[in-house]
Amino acid sequence: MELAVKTTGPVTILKIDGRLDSNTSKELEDKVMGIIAGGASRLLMDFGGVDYINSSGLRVLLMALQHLKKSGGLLHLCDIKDYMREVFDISGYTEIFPIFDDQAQALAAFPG
Amino acid sequence: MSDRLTLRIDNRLPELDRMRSEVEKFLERGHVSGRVAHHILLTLDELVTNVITYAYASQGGRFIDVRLVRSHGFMDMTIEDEGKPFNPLEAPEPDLHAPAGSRCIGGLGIHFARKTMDDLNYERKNDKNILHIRKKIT
Repeated sequence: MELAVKTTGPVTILKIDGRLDSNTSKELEDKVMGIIAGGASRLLMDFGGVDYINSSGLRVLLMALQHLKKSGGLLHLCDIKDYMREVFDISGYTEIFPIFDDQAQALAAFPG
Repeated sequence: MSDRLTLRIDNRLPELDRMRSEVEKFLERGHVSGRVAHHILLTLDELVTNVITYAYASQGGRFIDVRLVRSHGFMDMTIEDEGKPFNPLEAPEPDLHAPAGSRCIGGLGIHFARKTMDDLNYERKNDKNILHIRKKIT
């Protein structure tokens, strides 16, 4: 798995490439929690390069969302492939995560 | 063309990569692809992860047997372990509509299996947990 971080204005963008499973999710968890601990309050996670996610990957997303919400932060997700989108649907995660088609739409949807 | 895959894996998380690779090759040989293949790979990943994580006191040195049989219109799978008795089908359903702040992650793996597989049965036999899983192949 490859993780790349960049910032655009007030938004931190985390681009993920690879698989999010039981063997890689800890690496994502460490990266995301580091970003949040560093003070980021607007986070966009780009799933364009992700070809698999299981419940251990979803656990990291939920943890990130819960931490951000505590401090009034926001988490947007984008570019999730169709068959993985089904995993989000089955989990009820499409109800709690704002999911966008691409980075531009996800960035534009952050308020103010 | 092989219509049966038998795998014995060690109860360690890194073994999931080997299982995935073997199952992917088996599905390709049987011309099972797309969404159905993804459902099978996800279900086996989740259920075997549960066994590795919960069935034994520690990881490593114990075995989990995974079998897939491709028959007329079905993929029949079994997962067998000699760990403590555990019926994953008795796990409570996760609350999929709870607000984000009070969401729990537990139970999602078996929830995926329930939603994507056509039949799931558990038996405890000869001191083994045996999970039978069936998926229709169209």
